Amino acid sequence: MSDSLLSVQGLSKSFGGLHALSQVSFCVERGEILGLVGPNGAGKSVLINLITKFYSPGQGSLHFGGRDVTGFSRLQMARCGVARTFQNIRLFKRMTVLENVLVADPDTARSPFRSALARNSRMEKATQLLDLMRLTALADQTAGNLAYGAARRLEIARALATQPRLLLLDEPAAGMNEEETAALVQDIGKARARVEAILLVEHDMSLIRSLSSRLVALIAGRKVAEGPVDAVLSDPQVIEAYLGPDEDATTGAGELAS
Amino acid sequence: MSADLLFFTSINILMAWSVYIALSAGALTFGASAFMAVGCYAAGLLTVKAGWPLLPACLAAALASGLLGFALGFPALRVRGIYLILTTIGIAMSMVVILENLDFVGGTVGFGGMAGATVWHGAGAVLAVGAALWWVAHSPLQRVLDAVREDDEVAASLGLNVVFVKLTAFAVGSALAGFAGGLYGHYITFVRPDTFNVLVSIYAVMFVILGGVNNFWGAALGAAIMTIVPEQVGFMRDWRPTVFALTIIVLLLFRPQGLITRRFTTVKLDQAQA
Repeated sequence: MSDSLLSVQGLSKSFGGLHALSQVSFCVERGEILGLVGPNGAGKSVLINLITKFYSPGQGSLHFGGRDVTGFSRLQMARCGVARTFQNIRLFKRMTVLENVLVADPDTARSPFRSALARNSRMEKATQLLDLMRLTALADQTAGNLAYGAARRLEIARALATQPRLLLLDEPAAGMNEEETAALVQDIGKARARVEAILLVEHDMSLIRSLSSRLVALIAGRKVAEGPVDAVLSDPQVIEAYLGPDEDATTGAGELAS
Repeated sequence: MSADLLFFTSINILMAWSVYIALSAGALTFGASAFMAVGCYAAGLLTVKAGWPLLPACLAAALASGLLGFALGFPALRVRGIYLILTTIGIAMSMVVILENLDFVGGTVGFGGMAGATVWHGAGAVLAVGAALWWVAHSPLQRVLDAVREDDEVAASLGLNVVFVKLTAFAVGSALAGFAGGLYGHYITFVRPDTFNVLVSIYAVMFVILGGVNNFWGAALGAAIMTIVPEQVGFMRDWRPTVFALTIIVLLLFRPQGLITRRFTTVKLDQAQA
């Protein structure tokens, strides 16, 4: 194996007769934000769910930090340093913002029953993360009452609280307006300094362009392109998948590549 | 209010908490009566046949029930929701049959000779367990339990050992039911296997549903109301199960979260910084 942080080899997954993912291979290198793009149904979320073991494994192998993690459980993946956010936000809605971050602290997670005696020892790290994600003013609010943008930031803060090596962001800008997306770019930039690498699944091209150094494009469960951002976004297959195979494709290409 | 009623209220609060503890980690169990039975018979054997004092016997019985809960919970907690409910009902019904076929504890005839529990034992146990639950409710452990109950998939993806947390909560709840069973047997002095039929479990779950599942006060309130009110209001005594069922139906229609719905925050930012 190379010394990539995450290496995905020949990953396939089918549901019934539907091939959601076929023979996808790529690596996430240390220090990079790898963008994963593709139209709806391309298998981006399936990929994230396979890496974090939210789906039972299909074919293919996964290596993380040089270890074979193909047969790992969800818990094992978390403990070896993979954290994620969710496309359809999954916060602990009845808990406060601060509690959502505190519960993900590795010391609490590893010995929850001893933590009953430790009380609030992890407060500093949590308040730092709230500051980082601009949530301090909302710390004591119930997470279920958060506005959309704040809920997305809290998911990132909660994932960072586990002190991961790799952060998987599943469409963090979904449903955000331009202003919120611009702010999110800043936030993800700050998150980047705390992890070794980020795998960013996103539709929003401005977000991808501002953050990613490299892209992998999926279409209908297959990898069709991989490489520098401009090269991938000007790939004819990618343009066709995003804009349809009509004669406007040339103008569309200009839009994507600009 | 008579001493009897106060004692039975204490036992029912302990049983409601036993269900609440398992449920706070997301495991709804109808098996409390089985562990109450094990606790009662184990404590009874220790005091009657081995001459132990009451409290050590009840604690040892709680430990035995807890270990059994751990052993049974390990396979049982692999299933969720309706299947876990069916599995635990199965445990409750099997335990009655098992005890009926154990001749050295009297079989169907029953087991007697236990004595020594007073209303003070019941009240003391409620205070001690209540204090422990209060402590947990304001600790990081409460956040872990809430996370596991609300979304165990996400909890696992954050590095929480969901299986271990659920299993431990189930075992601790079983131990508490065992302790309550030990006290109960030594108060009423004579029990039969059928004393601990599945209805006892169902009542314990009803107490929690009535009072609310979001904090330990709710379970205690539900148990207290459903024990005291039918006894004090004369005509209800003969209609206890009916009153019970109607109350639950009305509650589920108008206040499905239970009487006390509030979740207490384990920590606030301003108080932590002060």
